[in-house]
Amino acid sequence: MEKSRPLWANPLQFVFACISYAVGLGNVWRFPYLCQMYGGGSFLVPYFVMLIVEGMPLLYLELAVGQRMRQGSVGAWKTISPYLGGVGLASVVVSFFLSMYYNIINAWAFWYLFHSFQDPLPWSVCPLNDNHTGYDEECEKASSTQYFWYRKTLNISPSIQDSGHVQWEPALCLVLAWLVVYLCILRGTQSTGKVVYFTALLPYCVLMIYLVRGLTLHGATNGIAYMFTPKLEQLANPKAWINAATQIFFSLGLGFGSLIAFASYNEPSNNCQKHAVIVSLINTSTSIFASIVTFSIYGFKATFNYESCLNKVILLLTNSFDLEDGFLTASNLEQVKGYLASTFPGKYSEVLPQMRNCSLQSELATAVQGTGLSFIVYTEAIKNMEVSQLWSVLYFFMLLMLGIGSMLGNTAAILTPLTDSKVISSHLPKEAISGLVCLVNCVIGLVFTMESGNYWFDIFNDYAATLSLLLIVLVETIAVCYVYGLRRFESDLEAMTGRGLNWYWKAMWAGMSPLLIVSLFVFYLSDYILTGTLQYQAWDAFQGQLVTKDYPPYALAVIGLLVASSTMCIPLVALGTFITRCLKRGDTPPAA
Amino acid sequence: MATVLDSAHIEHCRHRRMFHWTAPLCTINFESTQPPELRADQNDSLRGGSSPRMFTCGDAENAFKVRLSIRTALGDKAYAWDTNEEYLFKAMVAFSMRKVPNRETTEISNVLLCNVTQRVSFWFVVTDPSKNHTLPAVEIQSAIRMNRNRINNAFFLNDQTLEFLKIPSTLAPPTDPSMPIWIIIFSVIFCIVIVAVMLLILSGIRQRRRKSKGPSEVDDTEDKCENMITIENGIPCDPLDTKGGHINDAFMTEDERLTPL
Repeated sequence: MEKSRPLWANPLQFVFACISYAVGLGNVWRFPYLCQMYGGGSFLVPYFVMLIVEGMPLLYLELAVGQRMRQGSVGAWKTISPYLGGVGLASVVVSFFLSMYYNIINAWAFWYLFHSFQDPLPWSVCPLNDNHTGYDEECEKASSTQYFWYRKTLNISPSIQDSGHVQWEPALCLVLAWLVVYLCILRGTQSTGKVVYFTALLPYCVLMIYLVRGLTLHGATNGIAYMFTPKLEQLANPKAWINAATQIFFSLGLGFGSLIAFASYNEPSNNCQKHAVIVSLINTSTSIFASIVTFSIYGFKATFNYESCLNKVILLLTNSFDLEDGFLTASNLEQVKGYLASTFPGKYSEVLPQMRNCSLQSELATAVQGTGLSFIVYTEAIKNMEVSQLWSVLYFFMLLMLGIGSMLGNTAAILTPLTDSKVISSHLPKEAISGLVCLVNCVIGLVFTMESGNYWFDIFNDYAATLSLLLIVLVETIAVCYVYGLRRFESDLEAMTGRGLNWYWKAMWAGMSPLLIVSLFVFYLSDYILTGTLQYQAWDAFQGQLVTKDYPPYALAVIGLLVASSTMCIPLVALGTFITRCLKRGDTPPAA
Repeated sequence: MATVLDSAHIEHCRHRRMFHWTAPLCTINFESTQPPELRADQNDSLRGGSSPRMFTCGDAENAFKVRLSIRTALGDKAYAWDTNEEYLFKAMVAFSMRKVPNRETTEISNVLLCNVTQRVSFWFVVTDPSKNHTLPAVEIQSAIRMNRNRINNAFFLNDQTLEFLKIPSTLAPPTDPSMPIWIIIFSVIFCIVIVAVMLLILSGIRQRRRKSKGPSEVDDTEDKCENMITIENGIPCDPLDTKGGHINDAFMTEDERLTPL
């Protein structure tokens, strides 16, 4: 008995699934960083341009391919051209790498979520040293939030060579994270379709709450003013445009096969053009929304740190010169400093080295991205808010929703080709396939819970998906436009949805987007080649800060393997198909 | 006489508003230009003390510097530091020394304060009542550490705003519950997820068993779209839209043979 393909219960589930997949952690922790680095408000210009030129067309392309072919990435590209089954396979391999390392973020989010139910928050105070006269040394040199992240959560080793052993606490959280993901994908679209209502909508609720809270914080306006003040000279910086293109590309999750998988569960008559535009616009506006929240939090944190710094200087001066308590304030500090320097030069020069130069600008200018933003900077801001437990729980719950939403897409990209393949689905039920995939990923993911796990995480984060995806999407675009034929695809879409293809999409697919991707590709390759040796940031416990180190040869080999294993799929499968066909043609006898 | 001179200078100091030390004329602190005995003497005479002391107040070995930040701690409710507060401080120190077992009783007059600045900061020593020398710093240190909380509370201050330099405060160890809280919450959520997974798997198995028992349609969203596969001559027909070709129009499904009305 054959089953027809499972479908989404309604188109809204499909849209929510795409939003839930596309709106992920990158919107929260990468976009604000880029905004800050490349000119604040003026970064929105290249971002929107790239959205319209690159993001929307490519998203529409993937959704259209999935909806038309009604198969996962492997089957879809095989249908387009038998030689291009490797594209689908490469997508599956990249998705596999991604799901391996992505879920550890959910594990960390769980860890912080569970620790948010304590008073005081464990990352707000340093632990005491052995004889209870002061604080732990590493914690004093760094800050309490950094200490909690690097020592308590990761228990990080000084370098990637010192692997250490598996930490059981993050390992437990990882197992839980995989169980939750398994629970959501267990029944295919039936369960995923219901879960995406939550994973798509709840983060927005939390972001709204945080927006209101963030804007009412003391010093929030400093952060927002800093972010949105456009620095128009950055528009001339090519890096701004390249980063905008890259961010759009990875933020929408193109090339992983998840979008193809989601769209394959659509009704053939679904208007995927409208959905593509909606999803990309929602993704962009979420990024901007999240950066407003992030920058108000930044402003609060920077103002708080600036005022603490000032208070420390005031205390130092008051104690050294025995001034009246409360006499020195922020407003007369400079004046008094000048007086002290002129009247008591000897004593002042003794005190001067201990005085830090407090600057609000330098506090605001500390741009952080990635896990550092979420687990160090945000926690630092949260611990200074009132009722910090509530804000902490809300925040990490939102991170979890975002992370799990993206994981649903990742696992769908792996599972859909597996369940489509008759060989596997005839022997194993869907639940068993999902369970097996989750189990394998969980076991491999335990590597990231070792003491050096964070360094391996960075390797995967930086290299597993970047180059391969660019190549995959490039081949996809060329395949649809030139191998399958743009006109043929257009007539297919018209027959399927009843709507024609706008000239704009055709122009972008055939011309603009491939050119953009090629230029991005060239830029990245040249960047890798020019930098020479690759380096990473290691945590030095004695200094309490990050230091730069070189990757050892075997780590470089792993990086090379990561990139090669996905990109090589495309030519290898094409070659394999070609050889098999040649052999078949050679074998078949000319007459019956 | 010394009193009159000094109060005039005190007035002069207040006019200057700022500093109270290096200009030797304009200070309530006493620089070491004066002989120790006299200095202690003047100290007491200013405060209405009685018998002259022969001890140096600023004796570096056994004296402790104390620093108070009253305005930081109390804001508007800050009290002024005057001689009465100093008396209370002396009383608290004497109290701490009295609490030390196997010691002779310390009187308030054994505690000497000097070098009071506007900060407010001052030095103090505790003298031995009988032997005319200052008590060793270690004893005073341990006594103060034991009673630090009571001393703080007497002045509405805490360890950070009432500082004894050279006496480290014992930091309160963080409360460590017997079972870390996070494990409790983790176990709860873990059990819920496991139960939910089991339920879903079991219901899926049950559905599959029900389907394999009878060909009756199960009310399942996935199966709603199931088409009846017709078998003609032992070859199943695929639905039109799933595969990329190979539909032989000669084989039509049953209902399509009959033309609609």
